[in-house]
Amino acid sequence: MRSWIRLAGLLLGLGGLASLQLPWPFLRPDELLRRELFGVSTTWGLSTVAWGVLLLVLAPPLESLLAYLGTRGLLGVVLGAHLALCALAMDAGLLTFARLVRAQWHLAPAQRGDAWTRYQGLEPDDLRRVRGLLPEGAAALVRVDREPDSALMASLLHLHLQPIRLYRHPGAPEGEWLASRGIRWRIDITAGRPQVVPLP
Amino acid sequence: MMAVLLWALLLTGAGAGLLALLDREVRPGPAEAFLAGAAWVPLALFLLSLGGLPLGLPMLLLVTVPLAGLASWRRAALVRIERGALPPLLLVGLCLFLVWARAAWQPDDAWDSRTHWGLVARLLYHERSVHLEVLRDPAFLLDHPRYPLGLPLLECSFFHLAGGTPDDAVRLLFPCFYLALGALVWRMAGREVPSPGRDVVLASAMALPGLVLSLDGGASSAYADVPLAALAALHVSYALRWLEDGSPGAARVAALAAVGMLFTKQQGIPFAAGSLALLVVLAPRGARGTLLLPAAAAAAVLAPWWAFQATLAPDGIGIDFLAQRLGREMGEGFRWENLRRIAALDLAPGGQWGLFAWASLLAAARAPRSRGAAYAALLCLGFAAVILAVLLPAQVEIFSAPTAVRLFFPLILPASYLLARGLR
Repeated sequence: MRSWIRLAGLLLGLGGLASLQLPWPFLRPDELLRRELFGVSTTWGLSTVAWGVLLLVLAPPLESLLAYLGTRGLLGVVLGAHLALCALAMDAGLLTFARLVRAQWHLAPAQRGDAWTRYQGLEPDDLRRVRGLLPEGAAALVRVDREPDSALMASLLHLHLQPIRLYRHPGAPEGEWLASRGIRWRIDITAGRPQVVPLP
Repeated sequence: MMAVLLWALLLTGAGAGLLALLDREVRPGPAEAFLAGAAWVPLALFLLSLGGLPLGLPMLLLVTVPLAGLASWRRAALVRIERGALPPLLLVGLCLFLVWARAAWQPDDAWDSRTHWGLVARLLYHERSVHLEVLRDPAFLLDHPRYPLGLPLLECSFFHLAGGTPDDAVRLLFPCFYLALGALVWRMAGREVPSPGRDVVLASAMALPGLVLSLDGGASSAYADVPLAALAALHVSYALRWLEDGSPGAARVAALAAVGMLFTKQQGIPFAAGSLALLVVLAPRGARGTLLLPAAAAAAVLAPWWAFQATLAPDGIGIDFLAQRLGREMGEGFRWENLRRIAALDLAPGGQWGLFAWASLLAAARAPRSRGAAYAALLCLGFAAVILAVLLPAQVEIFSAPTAVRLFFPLILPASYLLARGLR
């Protein structure tokens, strides 16, 4: 069994190396990471090499583990398959995370969640500008031009303006309604762009 | 990072002291102590703030430091690890790295985390009181004014230690629950089956793709599901001990964990209720009476929260929408295509739960019969049935498939228990 595991590791390692297309050791690391050869991305190629090395190094404990699971009948087979699938999923997760880190390396922590906000139709810099205009803990009335997106837009705004308090009102609120909540600003969202309007 | 460490240490110290008071027979490990602290601290902060005391660092120290002085620890024992345990333990190590690294890298930008408990936590921090007028005002933009205050108060306690509301650090609180959940699974599995079986069970439970990788409820996403799962694990592990020996201490700790669940997420209600019903039915001879006092005490300490919750504004966009939709849709009967969708996402090879559920079912069939096995199996089936009954009528896909991944997390420890017994 151990020899078969080592053979699988060797084949995976060589396959991974081949996908990276020698002479890869002579490439600069950033150049290496950008290359995509034989339709296989370099990260996947490197990952395959890592799997090969792992199988070569871990052949004895893997043999013990397989022998143990083999004594547990169908349950052992299902658990072994479960662990193998989970390991592959974690490998994919690790590569995705590595790519994310590489793409966002130059960004400040506050900017790393911006892609999602943009996807939802709001510009993160607009929200930061609004946040800068309002004092901490301020109360503001939110008006959104679009239905049925209004709830989404308002909630998105809330997501990024905390702890500024946002209120909604279906019509034109009266002075007392505003005063009882300490509302001194209105945030109008038109086509996804928020504008701060001071209230009299 | 220092504030996160201090926060975890304070909770662990307080929890260890509390466990020493509740259960004198068994000394806790750090995971049990941390989770007991996570159940105790927010509830204590809530009750004191309800009585008019200001939320802040002094109150946090008041509810943790005196208890930490009472702590006594289990002596660490040498753990035997067989050679075959190395691959599953390496997999668990990779999962831990991924969860912590992702939590450290991404700011707190997950929807539920920010719009539900994150916002309330920030308001609690600024107002220093649970008497928040905005929670009673339907005009205030908040999806879930009635969401349990457990997580907001835990985050608020962290903000007091950090001296602010750091968006890039708050996510790091949540992997602590993942670590504690893993420690409980490992300890429970170790009682049932030696290495490498114990380590196979640990890796099977902790490497679930939905638990590790999902940004919509996974361990690094700052959602409430992993804290709930960890508290449910604490509850189930002590419930299993009570089923073996009927110890009053075990019943008291199980009740504390149930309080934590109910104060963390509404979904804790069916889990705790189902568990209590099963414990009453399966109770060892003459031990049923030892359940009564802890169950009554749990209801008594939660009563002020339920009374307070009833005064808050009705749930806004999210819950109203869900309640209306589900209320109407339930009358129209189950949508069986949702079951296919959930099965494809969760139960298929490569799905969010991998083959874990199938392995647990197989293990339940071959596990030696006992009260504990019956409790774990019935709890899994009953809770899964409740979740499916809620999700199957839903028309909206998001409520049927992706949500289902995380709603089943509280079943991780009982299912792992069945796995461990099946591997004997």
